Amino acid sequence: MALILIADDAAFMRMRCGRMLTEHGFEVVEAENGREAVEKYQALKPDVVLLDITMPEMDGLQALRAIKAIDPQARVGMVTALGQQQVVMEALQAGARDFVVKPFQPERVLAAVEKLLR
Amino acid sequence: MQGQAVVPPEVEHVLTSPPQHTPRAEHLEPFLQAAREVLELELGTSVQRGKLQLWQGSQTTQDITVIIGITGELTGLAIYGLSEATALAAISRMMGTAIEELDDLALSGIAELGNCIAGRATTLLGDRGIVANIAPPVLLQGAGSRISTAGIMCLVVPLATDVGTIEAQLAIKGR
Repeated sequence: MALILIADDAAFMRMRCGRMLTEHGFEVVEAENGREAVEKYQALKPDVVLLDITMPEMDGLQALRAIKAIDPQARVGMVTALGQQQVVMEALQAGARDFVVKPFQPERVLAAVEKLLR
Repeated sequence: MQGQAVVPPEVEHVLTSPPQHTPRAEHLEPFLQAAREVLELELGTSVQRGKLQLWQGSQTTQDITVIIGITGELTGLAIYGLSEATALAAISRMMGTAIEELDDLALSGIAELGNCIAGRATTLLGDRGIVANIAPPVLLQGAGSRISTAGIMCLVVPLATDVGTIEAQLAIKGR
């Protein structure tokens, strides 16, 4: 069973994504900010990471770079309300493998996870 | 957006020929378009724009207020206010089940609605060559508090949905 780390400062988003992924057979762990996401990545080595960008303490792009520094092969997708072209480019250049813009249909996040697991 | 209200001449004049610290239509319209798109997707409702007003000075909050700071080539605040009844109806719609109480999880969902609207607005602004960013949302619970938008004139737009009215207060100016 693949382990998915969901990092989002909004408890509602963590619940929504987590519930959907659990229903599809994934194991889920949560982080409330980028710093916690990096700590949990180091401790648990999840199969996939889903990162929000606008988070307190450490934003998602900083967390992405930190996770990639720990593990260059880390499979990270961004799930964020920020869809500006320069943000997408910055995330992809920093190593994100997918980019989901909120609000999203649940199937889009599921497809992103399945793509990241391949 | 369905049923767009006619902009009063005095409001239109200010938006198209603004003195300093007055919002411009080209900066505000993305926030209203984003609200329509996000509310239609998340709540499955059409959105009707009500009468536009311009305010200067402080505003009084509704039961639930989501405040999002805007930075970059634009600065200011995007504020979304709604009643408790509207918030309960909205979060029930979003969660697919009847919610009877605005607990922390429900309030997080309302804040996230504001975050998605403001985030989508920055994407639309980016498409127009305007680079803006947003801060994590702040949620204020409790009617009757006063919010000052620091000298920036505020465009107030009621957005009517089938779960209730959400009032957008946009105090945003270009650098």
